[in-house]
Amino acid sequence: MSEKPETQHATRVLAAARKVPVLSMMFRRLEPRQQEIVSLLRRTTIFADLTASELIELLHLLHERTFVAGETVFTEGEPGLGLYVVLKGEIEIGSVDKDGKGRVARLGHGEVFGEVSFLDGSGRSATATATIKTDLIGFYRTELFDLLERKPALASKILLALARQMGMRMRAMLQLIQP
Amino acid sequence: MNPPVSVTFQGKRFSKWIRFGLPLLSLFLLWLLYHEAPLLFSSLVISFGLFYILNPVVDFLEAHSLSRIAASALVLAGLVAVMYLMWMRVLSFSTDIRAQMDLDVFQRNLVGTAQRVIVWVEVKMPVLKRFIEPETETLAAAVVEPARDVALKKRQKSRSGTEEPPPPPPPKPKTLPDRIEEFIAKQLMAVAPDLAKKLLGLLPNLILIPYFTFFLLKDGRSFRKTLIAWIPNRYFEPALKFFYELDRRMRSYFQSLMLDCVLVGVLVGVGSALVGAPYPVVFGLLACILNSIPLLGPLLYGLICLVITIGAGRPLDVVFGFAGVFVLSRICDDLVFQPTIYGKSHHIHPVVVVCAVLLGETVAGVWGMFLAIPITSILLLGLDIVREISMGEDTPPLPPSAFAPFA
Repeated sequence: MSEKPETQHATRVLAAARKVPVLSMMFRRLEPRQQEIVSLLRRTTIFADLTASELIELLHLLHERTFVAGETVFTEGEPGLGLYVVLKGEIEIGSVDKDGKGRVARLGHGEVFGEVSFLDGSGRSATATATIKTDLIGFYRTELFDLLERKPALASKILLALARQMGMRMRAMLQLIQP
Repeated sequence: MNPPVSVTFQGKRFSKWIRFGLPLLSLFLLWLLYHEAPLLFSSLVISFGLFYILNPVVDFLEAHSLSRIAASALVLAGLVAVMYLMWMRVLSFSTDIRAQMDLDVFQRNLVGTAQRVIVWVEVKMPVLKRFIEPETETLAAAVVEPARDVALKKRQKSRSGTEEPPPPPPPKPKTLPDRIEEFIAKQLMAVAPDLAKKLLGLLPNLILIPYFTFFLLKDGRSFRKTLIAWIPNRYFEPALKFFYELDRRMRSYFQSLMLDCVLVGVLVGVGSALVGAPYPVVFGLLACILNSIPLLGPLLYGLICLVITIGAGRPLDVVFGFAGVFVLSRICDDLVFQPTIYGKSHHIHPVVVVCAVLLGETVAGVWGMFLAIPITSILLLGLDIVREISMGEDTPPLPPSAFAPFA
């Protein structure tokens, strides 16, 4: 979503003000790690619609977690609290259907998982395990509830993007089922 | 690779006890801090209270492109300015008090008002006279008996014709006003040294509180994230949920407390001005500050304001008018403000609140009363977790899935 002309003008003024040594201390500055996370979030389907200031606001609510090779992120059936974005590494998603056949998916940099339990808090539908040393960005329901109180517009944007993604998946599944 | 199912199952159960253990651990640390480092304890409690009240303002400024450090400094500077203005008002009030009356005048006014109240009670409520009359009988006995003894000795002297040394004057009978005066003087003498020591003990707080508040506002979020980051991955989500609940309840309590105190302060200040009490602004400030202490605080500010009103020599109708304002403020606070402000956020029964406050007073005095409600809220959070464990509300783990790289 492109920014309004007024917002673009304000962004240019702020960028100029940041170059002044004394004034630059008054304004927010992002560390390189934070800039890397913000640019990653822009490429995800859930956070792609957020503006720069909204992403910076969201940054304070995200938690960076590191998993070693073979460590389980979450197990099938346990109650879930958050969705994750893969920052670095690889995650293996595994599940066993009623016929006893296993299904495996591998997720890499920039991919999102765990969003269904994030929305409804129910048990996880699969097991997620790190295959190599992996850095994940976690966004949790508790932070979403906090955001709903403080910034309902931003929280609504995230929830709408999640709902859109769920809708797209349902249509894809229906197309697979229908002859 | 098969997932370690038994460890997962035990980990899930163990995580519930971690959630239950965290509230108890928090309370234990709080109790330890209160006993071992009271100065640090008082500074931290007040700083956390100010943090929860001022954090929304800092968040608002930061959302409008101001850096966290600038927003925190600005908000804290505003708070210090407000505290300075309040302090100047209190200083000018104490200067007025010293200029207008001295302790003798103050005591005479108190005693005089007590006498007027007794006369008023005797006139308006004669049935209570029998409780007041024994004082006059005692007075009569104290005056008549020594006089009778003196008359008897004079007659004996005139008969014997010998010079006897004059009898000592009878002790002055203690009337009710005298006894009131003696009681007040004794109480003031008893409280003064302890009060002076406590006031001196509060001086380091004047530096520590702004210091802690500034860093909590600036780095509070980072502290929380750093603390949570230390928790192992397996227990991360339950711990996050506990910290979220704790944070939400504390924020709700302190913001509700501030709103309640401001409303009561405004009511008392406006009411005092309307009835003609002296220093209505100071009375309002006193009510605002002391209302934060459950049960004891309102009694304290009521008593102090009443004593100041009487000591300033105001007529009886002003004294009764202020008493009416105090009663009205208590009714509004207990029946309107608190149920509306606290009821939605905490869902604690009033009986539980009273028991908690009294228990808090026994354990930790005034601080115990002040922290009774938030600590009760933390304990109720722990009880919710116990309820979940006992009722088995968490879904049991599904049968182990033979996880392997399948074709």
